[in-house]
Amino acid sequence: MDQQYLGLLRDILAHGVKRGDRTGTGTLSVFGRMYRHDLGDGFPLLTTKKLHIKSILHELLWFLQGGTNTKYLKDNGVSIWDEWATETGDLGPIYGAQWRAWPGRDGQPIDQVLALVDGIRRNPNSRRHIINAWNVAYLPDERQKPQDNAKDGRMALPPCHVMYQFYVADGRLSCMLTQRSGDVLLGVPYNGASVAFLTHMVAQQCDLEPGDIVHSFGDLHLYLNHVEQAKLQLTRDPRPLPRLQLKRKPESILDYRFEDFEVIGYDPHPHIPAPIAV
Amino acid sequence: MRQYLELMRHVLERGAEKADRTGTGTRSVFGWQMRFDLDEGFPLVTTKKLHLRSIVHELLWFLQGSTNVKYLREHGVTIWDEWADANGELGPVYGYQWRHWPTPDGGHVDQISDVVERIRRDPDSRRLIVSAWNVADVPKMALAPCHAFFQFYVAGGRLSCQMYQRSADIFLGVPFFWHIRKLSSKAISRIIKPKNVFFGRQYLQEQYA
Repeated sequence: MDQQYLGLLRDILAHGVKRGDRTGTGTLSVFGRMYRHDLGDGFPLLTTKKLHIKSILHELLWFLQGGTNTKYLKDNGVSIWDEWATETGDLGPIYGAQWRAWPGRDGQPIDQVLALVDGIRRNPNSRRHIINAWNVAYLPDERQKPQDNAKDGRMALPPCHVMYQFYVADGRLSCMLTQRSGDVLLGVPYNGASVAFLTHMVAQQCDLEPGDIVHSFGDLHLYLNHVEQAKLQLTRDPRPLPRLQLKRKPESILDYRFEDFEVIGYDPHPHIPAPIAV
Repeated sequence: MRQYLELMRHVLERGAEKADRTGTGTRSVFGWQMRFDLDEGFPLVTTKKLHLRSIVHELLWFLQGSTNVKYLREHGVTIWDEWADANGELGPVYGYQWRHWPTPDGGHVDQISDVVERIRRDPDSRRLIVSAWNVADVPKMALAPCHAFFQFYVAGGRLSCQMYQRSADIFLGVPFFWHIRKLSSKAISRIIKPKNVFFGRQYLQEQYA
């Protein structure tokens, strides 16, 4: 995992094109990248810098609940969505809404998460095990602030994790996440951990072994004020990966709790502080 | 096109045997990516002959927003016939979603016109995406989209395109699909150099294995 991640950092430092961006910070950017990790080799938390899984796990559980208000996150000490939310914590129909209640033509919401688990159980060979968050009808108007979009019933931000696809072969469940945009230093390590958590959960629910995660990117970028941090991380030697233990098998994919997850044997290099581009 | 042959070798050697919708059986791998620099030529496979006419007409038909095979038939293209109903209709497939993605207020989003306008206005944007995967409409489509969405990217005056395909018949479909993407890019800009083709899944029909 670390080797592949460090490979992405090297790739961007060597081949990245300087580009402007939404935040005005400037980035080094490459387009169209992918890495793969076999979950049988361990849980993909980077060991070359310390990651805090609390935020990412709560965020995932919040998506699975269909949450689009920051209240659940705030109650659990997670602030990663706060800056985009309205004063009442609303984010519009972002991930949670599309995953669990994509508006159907007949007015009935479509629950992609339950349909996914059901579909994998009934027809594992299907090529349509997909969760899509990119609902064109609810994308934000880019001329407006995130909060104003949310107030008007649109997403505060367009989805970064556009599409998840699952795949079963030889009793193993693999998942591919396609991200339109990835902040390689601050975002990508967490996005990778998030898709690994989700794959473990869906595999457990479907009585399959966790297989590969495939993480792919459109625009993969390093902010210009993260270059030193990336170079520091490249000097570090990877350590053995931790493993994930799911402490019980909940009734359904919707019933997981934070306490159900235990990451064992995580012994990373120290955290590397870096400024967030807003 | 060496990349294509390498992919085929990989599927033959490493692919898992899987049953499939059609009952034929496949060898399958998951998560694969190919990249072509359009400066090096137009990516038509040279190791077997492809019929460009069908691909071009299909793409033009998508761009018109059409979902009826009438246009295709008039141009001698039969690739969609077996899925069409008696009136030639296919339901809200690619063309409809690309040009007329429905909104809750009864309107429609023309993703093609939008993406061209946004590439011009804000080339650094990271959301230059056109999607056909409308969850609400998939059950009504004669066939679920295979090329689910694509993303454009501008750097150094060059336009690249990455396409996500959830499922691919490597022998018959793949060479076809990436031309769709290339041609579609050509159609919307004069300076386009799309670079990526990208596959969620690859499989090789076993009868060819």
